Amino acid sequence: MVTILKNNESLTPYVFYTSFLRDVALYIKDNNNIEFKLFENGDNFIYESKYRIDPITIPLLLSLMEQLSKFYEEPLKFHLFNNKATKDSLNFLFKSGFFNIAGSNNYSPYGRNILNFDINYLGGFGQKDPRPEHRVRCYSLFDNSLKKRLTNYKSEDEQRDFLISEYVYLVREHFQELLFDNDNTYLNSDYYIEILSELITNGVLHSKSNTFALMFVNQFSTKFSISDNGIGFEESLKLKKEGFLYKPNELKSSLDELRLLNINDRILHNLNYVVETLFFSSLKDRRGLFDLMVSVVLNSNGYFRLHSENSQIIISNRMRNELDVLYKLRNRLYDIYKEILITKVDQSGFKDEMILIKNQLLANFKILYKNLCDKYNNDFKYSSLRFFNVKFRGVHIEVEIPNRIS
Amino acid sequence: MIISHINTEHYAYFKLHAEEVISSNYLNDNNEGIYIRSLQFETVNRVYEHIKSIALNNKYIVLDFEFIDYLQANILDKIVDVRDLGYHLVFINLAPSILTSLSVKTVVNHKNVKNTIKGFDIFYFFSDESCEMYDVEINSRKIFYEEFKSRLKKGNYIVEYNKVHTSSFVYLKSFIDLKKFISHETPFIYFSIYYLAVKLKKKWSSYLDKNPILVGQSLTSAFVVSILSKLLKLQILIFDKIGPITKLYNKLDKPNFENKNYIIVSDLVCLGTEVKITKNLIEFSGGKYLGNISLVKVETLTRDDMRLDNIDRTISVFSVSDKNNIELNYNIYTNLKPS
Repeated sequence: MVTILKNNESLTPYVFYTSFLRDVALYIKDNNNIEFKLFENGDNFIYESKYRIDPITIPLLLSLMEQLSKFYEEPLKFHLFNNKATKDSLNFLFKSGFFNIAGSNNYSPYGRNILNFDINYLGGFGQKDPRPEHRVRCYSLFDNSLKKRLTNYKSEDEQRDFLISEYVYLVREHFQELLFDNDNTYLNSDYYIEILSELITNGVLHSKSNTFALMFVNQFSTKFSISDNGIGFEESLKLKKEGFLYKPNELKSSLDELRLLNINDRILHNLNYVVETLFFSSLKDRRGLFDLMVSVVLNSNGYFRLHSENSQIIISNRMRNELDVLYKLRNRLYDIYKEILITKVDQSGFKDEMILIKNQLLANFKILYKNLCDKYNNDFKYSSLRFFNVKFRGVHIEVEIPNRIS
Repeated sequence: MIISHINTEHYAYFKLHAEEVISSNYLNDNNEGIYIRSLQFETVNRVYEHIKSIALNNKYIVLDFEFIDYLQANILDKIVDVRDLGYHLVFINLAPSILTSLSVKTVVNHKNVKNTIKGFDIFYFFSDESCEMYDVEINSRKIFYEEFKSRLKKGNYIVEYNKVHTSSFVYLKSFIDLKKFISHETPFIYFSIYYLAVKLKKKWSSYLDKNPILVGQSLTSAFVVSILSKLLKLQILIFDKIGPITKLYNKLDKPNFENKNYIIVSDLVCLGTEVKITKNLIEFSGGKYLGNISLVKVETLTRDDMRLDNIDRTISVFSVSDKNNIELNYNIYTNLKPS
């Protein structure tokens, strides 16, 4: 069986992508089934063993396990141990709601039947409790009759707006207290609540099933992690139609031609689709993923890690110059859209300018892409790009907002 | 349910913050009360559906953004949808933080009135050279006051009485039947209580973090208190032992009053007798009385004789005073001859 928490190694998102996913893939290849063990040494070496999990890995774990349980059409076997060495991590997972969501309880929060474990191990934890807000949440269109209520809205954009506002109320209830603990997020809590809601909305709309989210705050930063099992960027883009500005794969095909990275073709395609998605978003007449990502970096000095299938892009302050240019162009384009909407003037008067901006956006996305690739080729360890051999379906986002004081 | 819709002679008025308070506290499970500062799509969509379902007599709609500091992204599209139902929109009380989301710079109109904090007091969301609305005063407090007054009159809630007041030695020409008003004037009554919550928050802002307790002292005030407690996130104490018959008819419970702050809530304060009794009971038991609020109050003294800092001055959303008592057919008199 595959070990989740190894002795003396904290399970962070990085470890999850680099080694844990590989362990899972190899095990499935050899055994054609999957079984998990939460703690490496189990009931042995209890005085020598130490386990730790970075809380924002929990949504990733749930997302992966849900995919596998759907594939095998049954809850996955999950072995627990409750002893001196495992007690604290087990307690944290228990209090974070991990077992509620992964299990089969039929009260709120409803279990999603992902894992098969013995609940008798869950108890006797002593006094130390994590904060009640540090809890993993599961969002789905099947909750609160959302699916039915969505049908009240005809256009896809309105459905999104409705879902975002619905999640704003939920996210506020779930995570607002944590935002008050970071000076940076405290002053703009409504804005961060909306970011989280928008990411959850993207997740539930694309995945058509569960999206897992968790927010964690410590003295240095506030982090949130959102993970879904959706169709991913490539399939989503295939659904987009050619418009006045957007031509499908225009950016991607020119990136494909550049071939700046010496990596597997499939993985390179995957990366280029991520960039194409951001380009598409920057051309839209509505605020969306691109705006949100850039504002996290430019306004809050934060990090935005975007993982899809085999690649991850880390958008951060290091790209400030390129992002500044893109953001200005994007805002000008957005302003034109709003002017057309408000004044109802004929779009044709703006046509030339809009096409010009679009071409500039296209060129600047290429510049950003080239810079990213150059840095990766020089020193991939400190690059903003990461590639993984094991494909992890869906979109997985981590946002980190540093505490202003620290 | 839209609580803030008021039709005036020239326009239809909506207070978006009040509607957001309903969306977040009642239609969803948030417990932010009136402290909520962001406006969501669901709220604007409710307003849109409401306007769509009824035919407004006016072609102008005033949207009041007071207390809104943040707008959900893309909400402007829905606001434009409201306009495209065939109306001209006027925004009032725009905070600087929401100007970009509303793309205000797109609309050029020299009649728009900027305020000292770089927001807009009035923003006409159209560019017409001349318009009848430019000369119409838009003041949200006045709109509410006029609406309250007209509903009191229209619904015949002021009932001819000409008898002795039940708790004071005066005669009442008529009495205001607020019980009936509360029962019949939904959803407007929720808007009134919303305003009362806003006033309470403003008046006792420095005390609110000390969790003052709202005291209800009659059946109707218990109704008001229960909603206020949700809107202001405050605890309540129901003191239903003080009748209009000026006597305690039951033994008091013995909650621990020591070192706690109390605000007395009434539906109507006429001469303030019950308020004073309740105040004495609270103070006698060791609690601190902060003041009292009421939906309606009767101003029997001039404002100079009952100043704002007077602890016994009632905070209310509607006053019966020398300015309107004749119009409302309300009076209090004694057997003595006026000089």
